[in-house]
Parts: sequence; structure tokens; C-alpha cells
Amino acid sequence: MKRREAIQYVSSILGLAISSPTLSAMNRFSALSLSPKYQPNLFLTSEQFHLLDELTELIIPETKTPGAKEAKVAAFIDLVLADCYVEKDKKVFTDGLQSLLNRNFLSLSTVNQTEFLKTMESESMAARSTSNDIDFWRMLKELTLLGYFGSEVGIKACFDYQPVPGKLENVKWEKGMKMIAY
Amino acid sequence: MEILKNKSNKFDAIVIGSGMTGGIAAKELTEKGLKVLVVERGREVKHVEDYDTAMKAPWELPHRDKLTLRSAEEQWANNRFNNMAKDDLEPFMTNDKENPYLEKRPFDWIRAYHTGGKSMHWGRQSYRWNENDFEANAKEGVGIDWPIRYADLAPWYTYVEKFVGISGQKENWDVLPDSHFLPPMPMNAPERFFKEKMMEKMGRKVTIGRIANLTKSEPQHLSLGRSSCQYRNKCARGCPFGGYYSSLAGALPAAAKTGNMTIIHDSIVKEVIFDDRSQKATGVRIINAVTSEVIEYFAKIIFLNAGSMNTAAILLNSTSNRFPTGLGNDSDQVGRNIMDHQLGVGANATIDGFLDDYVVGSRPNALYIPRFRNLGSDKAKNFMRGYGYQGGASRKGWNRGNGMQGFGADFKDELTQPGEWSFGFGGFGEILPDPNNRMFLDLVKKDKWGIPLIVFDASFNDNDLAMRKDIMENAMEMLDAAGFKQVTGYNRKEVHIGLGIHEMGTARMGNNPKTSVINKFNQIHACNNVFVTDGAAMTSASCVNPSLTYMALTARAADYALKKLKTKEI
Ligand SMILES: Cc1cc2nc3c(=O)[nH]c(=O)nc-3n(C[C@H](O)[C@H](O)[C@H](O)COP(=O)(O)OP(=O)(O)OC[C@H]3O[C@@H](n4cnc5c(N)ncnc54)[C@H](O)[C@@H]3O)c2cc1C
Ligand code: SF4
Repeated sequence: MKRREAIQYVSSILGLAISSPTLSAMNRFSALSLSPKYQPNLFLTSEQFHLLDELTELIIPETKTPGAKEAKVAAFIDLVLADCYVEKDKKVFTDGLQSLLNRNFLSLSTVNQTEFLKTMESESMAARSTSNDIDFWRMLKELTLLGYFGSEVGIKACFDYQPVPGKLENVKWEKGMKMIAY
Repeated sequence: MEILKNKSNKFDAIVIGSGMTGGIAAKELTEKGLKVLVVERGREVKHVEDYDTAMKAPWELPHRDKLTLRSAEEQWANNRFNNMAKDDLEPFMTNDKENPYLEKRPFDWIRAYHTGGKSMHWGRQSYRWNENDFEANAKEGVGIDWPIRYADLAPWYTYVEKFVGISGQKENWDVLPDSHFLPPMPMNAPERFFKEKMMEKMGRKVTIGRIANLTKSEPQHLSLGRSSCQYRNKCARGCPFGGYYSSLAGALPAAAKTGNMTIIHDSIVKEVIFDDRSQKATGVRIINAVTSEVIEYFAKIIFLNAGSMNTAAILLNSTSNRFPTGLGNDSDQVGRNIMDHQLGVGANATIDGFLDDYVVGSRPNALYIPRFRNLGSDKAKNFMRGYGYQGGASRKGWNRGNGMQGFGADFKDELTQPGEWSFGFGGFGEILPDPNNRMFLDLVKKDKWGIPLIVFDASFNDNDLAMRKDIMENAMEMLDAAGFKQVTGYNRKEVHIGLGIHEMGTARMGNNPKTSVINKFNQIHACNNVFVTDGAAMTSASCVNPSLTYMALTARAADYALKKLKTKEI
């Protein structure tokens, strides 16, 4: 549903006239909408970017719903790395990618890739109990989840996206229901 | 610099600040027929039209919930509050780098300089003080006595509540007097369970949060274009429906409707002008934030509503022959007795069961557990006063995946299903007035407009630290008593006074001009045409969220000011 329609829909169920400033603002919001034009390779080299793209898909693969690649998770991570992480943490991430490149990670079979990542995860989990330092796996997984479940593709495929719920109700969870995203 | 002096710069009243309290002052004074100038230092934000991030989907915020390095640097203070200035709120929060302040001892100062001030971003929790809150200072020999009692404010609470719209459950508890309520929001299933358990096992009260969101839009709200809450829980970005109360959605449109309000933006009040001949304030001197032009405006009465710390700074900077250390500062109390509420301490747990319960709609509200410490037969060993808790239950979503082992197809599927329920709440603790907790002006270091910088010199004391410990321990005890699992307490060490964003007390009310700045009607003792009605007026802090009380005090003072103008006593 388009925003403007959503608002009108809500106003009709409530029997309320939505003021004209609200409507004009809705139009303005639509016009403002960023269609996020991520520039690939903002920060990562194309080799690193390509590897990252594959890694995110291993974490969130395409199933009956789209995977991380389709949701352009790598591009999101690239942008966030550039804009949000201090040098030290950026380096943790690029070092992590580089060491996988050095080991020719992408030439491994899928089974071996998965095994490799499992080992990496166990090491990361173990390190967490003794240190608060961020490590490559932790960053990769966190950013992949945020990149996917925060993307338009991910949200619309996995959840019931309700920007304007219009109600607050306790209900029973039944099989087949989708979690609501707001 | 040329100073513009112009006859058209004359009004009946000047209100400094367009936020939570300035809005109410403007509404009350204009509705009573005064020509009012509202002076706002920040940029203009138009209700609805300028809420640029309000309707953005998660994916339309480029960094989602990550803080950019730019924001971290420019908003170094605001981001101490849970990285507040992310993509959605960065455009509205004050650039701390351009508006610096100094910390002799650290103070977390969260600011929003624009139309509506912090009323655009507040958490909307709204509670009346109780009778004891006004009497405790006198009974316990803390600070000075309040010059008013609950009964003085009660009708003004009702008056403001009707206009603002407060949703809540009537309970008839002395500790938390009921407001004039709109229908309450529902508790979810684990919360109802928790409420029963607390009463059964610990004799503790739990109620749904009392909140300035319209669960029902009454005619006085509809007439301002405010419709009922749509449960999106994105209030802090501004609500296109006017579903929650802000100065932008409520008081300012009401004031504008009268035709009696003029509002100017980008206009920093540098000082209040005091006339030594008439012994009255005659107006304000402002600096245009963009052009640096200095302009004077004149009025019969002046309301200071710049937010507690800025109000005190304006007073301190308004020096004259009569008031060499700042307007109304005979008592040397301006800038002292900074209070706030303790924050960043509480506990979390997970809950077994309730897996077939779910909620449709995102509730912009939580539970409230009113103060129980040091009331009736309860006596804490090592601290005075008490605290309330706010929090509740929610079902875990996909982000639980960060703490879980696994990846791949099954992992992905699992994260699209709701997780277990978690429960968490944190305390809001009362901080006592202490003259050594203060702010003052640095006479050497100035901002880019030549106005002296504010220096904070305040911290928690032993009472506060002992209370914090109790807040955490009790939260854990309550979650244990409810039978919840994995109970973990937290008491964040990097929290300073100020983080509660309830900063107050810097121009306190009192009967004695030697120990207080303003009288029981918020007038400066020795300059009765200046009113201070924001949090600076507070003589003690209670532990409940303060804005409702500030608004009630403001409406009461405006009513008084008008009566005295009529009888020419000011
Ligand atoms: C995230 C958050 C959550 C909160 N939650 C709650 C809550 O749940 N319940 C509650 O009761 N309170 C809450 N608060 C606090 C509440 O917002 C404040 O108590 C309230 O806004 C104070 O009102 P005020 O008028 O004093 O200041 P403000 O609303 O901040 O308004 C002050 C205005 O004055 C302007 N100004 C400042 N200096 C000058 C000057 N020199 N010249 C001209 N103009 C000036 C500012 O730009 C601003 O617009 C919360 C605040 C925040 C930020
Ligand atoms: S929760 Fe209600 S008041 Fe808040 S933004 Fe949504 S609709 Fe508006």
C-alpha cells in the first residue's frame, strides 16, 4: 500500500478526516524517499566485495524467500563499514576478508565453506566469554542479519510489513502467521 | 554590532523557548488575549510537514540502526543517550560540536534546539506528583520547602491533562494520583501475569504506563487536527497523525489559532534586559543565529521556558547594576541544585511459556511500577527517597540471532518466527537537591555568538549510588519472584547526572528570597514581571517523569500573571 493510501485507509476506518497538511506531507515524504543508490565498492575492493557477497549468502541463503545477495546485503555492509566504523574495526573486517581470500575460500566446496564458517563461529563464540573485542565473524554475522532483515526485500519476504498498524491487540499466535514488522 | 530598536518590537508577553513549557505558556497567554512573541533559538520545524524521517521504512534509513562516525563526532553529548542521533533523529538533535558545553564534572546534556524542543522527542510518560512529594523536603530537612502543595497544583494538572491527552488506568493509589485519563493501553499476556505475581508475592503495584498518546481523540484534540495513535511506535521522529502530544502538535497550533502569537526562529536569547529605573525587566536581547544581528524585543512580562539549564544560563548572563551576578540571583541559587533522575540501572530476564501469545501493533508504552521505597513501613537502610520502574515484556525478534549459534537456511527460517518473551525494566531514581551540583558560565570561553559557555559541575552522591544498587537488586528480585529465567541486572557505570533528561532545579521555588529564586507563582522574587516555569523552578525532583508537572506549573503561572496584569500589580 502506498503511504498516502495507507493514511486514507486508516482515516476511513477511524472515521476521521485527515488534515490536508498531513496529506501534503505524505506526498512530500514520497517525493523524498531515498531509493538508496548504494555505490558498490565504497570501501571494499571488488575482490573483497565479491567474497562478502558470497559470505552473506551462506549466512542468509535463498530459500523459498530471497537470500542476502538479492537483498544487496554486501552493499549495505560496504556503506556501513565506510560511514560507521572506526579504522581499527574496519581493519578487523578487511583483515578477516583478506585472510579468507588468501586461503582461496571461494574455491572450496560449499560443504567445506560451511565447515570453515562453523569453525570460525565456534572460535568467535569461545572468544566472547573472555574478551569484549569485536572479531570478524561477529561483525559479519551482525551486519548480515541487519542488512537482510532491515532490507525491503528481506522485510517484505519474511514479515508482514505494517507501517501503520492502526490498532493494538493481544492475539493468539497461530501456525502460518507472519511476524509483523513496523 | 548595530542594535535594532524598533517600536514594532513591542509585545504584551515574551516567551523564551517553544518546547514543552514554552508552548503551554504561549497557548495560555494568547488564549487570554495577550499579544505574545515566542523566541526560539533553533530552526523552524513545521508540524507534520517537516517530520522528514517519520514515514521512512527501515530500509530507507541508509545506516539503519547504526550510528555514523559523523554523528558520533558532531553529537558527542546526545549520543550518550543510546546513540540517539542516528539517521532518523540526527536532523533534529543539536549539533554539540557547534554548541559546545564544558564539564568540570561530566554531565550528559541531551538537547533538541528547534520548534517544539524536546517535546518532539520525549518518551511521553506522564505522572502526577503525590502529596508527599511536595512535603518531603520539609519533613526530612532536605533542601528547602516547596511553597506549594499538591492541592495547589491538582486543578492545573487536570486542566493540562485534558488538553494534552493522557492515556492510563485509574487506580486510586496515594503514591500515584490518577490523572484525567483517556482509555489505557492494554498489557500483554506475560505482563498481566507479572502484575498478578508482584501483588501476590511482594505486595507491589504495577500499572500500564500513563502516556501522552491519544488512545482516543477527543474534540479538543480533533479540532487541532490530532487523530488517535496508530501504534507505530515511531513517535520520536514526529507523528504525522498528531497521535502523541508535543508542543508542535498541541500548544503551538492552539496559540497560533488565536491570531495573537508571533514566533521567531534562529533567535538566541542572550539576556533579559533589566531596567534599573523601574526595577523591572523590559524585554530580551537576541542574537540571530544565522546573521549574528542583535535585536531587542520588549514586553510587559517575560516567561523563561528555555529548558532548565538554558533558562539558568540566560539569568546568569543577564547582569545589571541591581543584579551583578545575574537576574534574580540575590540568593546565589541560580544554576545550583541541579537534579535529574537516575537512569541506566535495572534488570532483564527471559520468560518460559506464553508462546501462543502475540501482539498486533507496536505499543509506544511500557509498564509502570510506582515507588515503594521509604514509604509507609518500608525503610531503606542507606538512602533517602525512592524510585519507580518502567519496562515490560516483548517477544524477541530476528535480532536474537546475534547471540545464537548458527547460520544458513534453517537459521534464517527460525529467525522469521517469533522468539521467546523477554522482560526488562529500569529505574528512575530521585536525586536530592545539593547546592554543590551546579552549572555556571565560563567568562572566558564563548560560543560562536560570543555567549559564555555553560560549565557543569555536578555528580551523583552517596545517596544516589546506594539507591542505584538497590534499584538493580530489587529489579532482579522482582523478576526472580515472577519466576522468570536468566535474570541479569545492570548498573551502567558510564552514566552521569543528566542522562535521565529530566534536568531541573536551577532557579528553584521557595518562600524565602534568601534561599530561592522564584516565589510560589514562579515569579522572580525581586523582579516580578519575569516568570520561570520550566524545570528550573523545581525545589525537589520526585521520581516520576516531570514534564506534566512543568506544564501544570506553567498554566498556573500564566493564569496568575494575567490576573496581576489586569490589576496592574505587575
Ligand atoms: C528521549 C527523551 C525522552 C524523554 N522522556 C520523557 C518522558 O517520558 N516523560 C517526561 O515527562 N519527560 C521526558 N523527557 C523530558 C522532556 O522532553 C522535557 O522535560 C521537556 O521537553 C522540557 O520542557 P522545556 O520547555 O523545559 O524544554 P524543551 O522542551 O527542551 O524546550 C526548550 C526550548 O527552548 C529553546 N531555547 C533554549 N535556549 C534558548 C535561548 N537562549 N533562546 C531561545 N530559545 C532557547 C530550545 O531550542 C527549545 O526549543 C524526555 C526527553 C527526551 C529527549
Ligand atoms: S505510536 Fe502513535 S503517536 Fe507514536 S508515532 Fe505512532 S501513531 Fe504516532
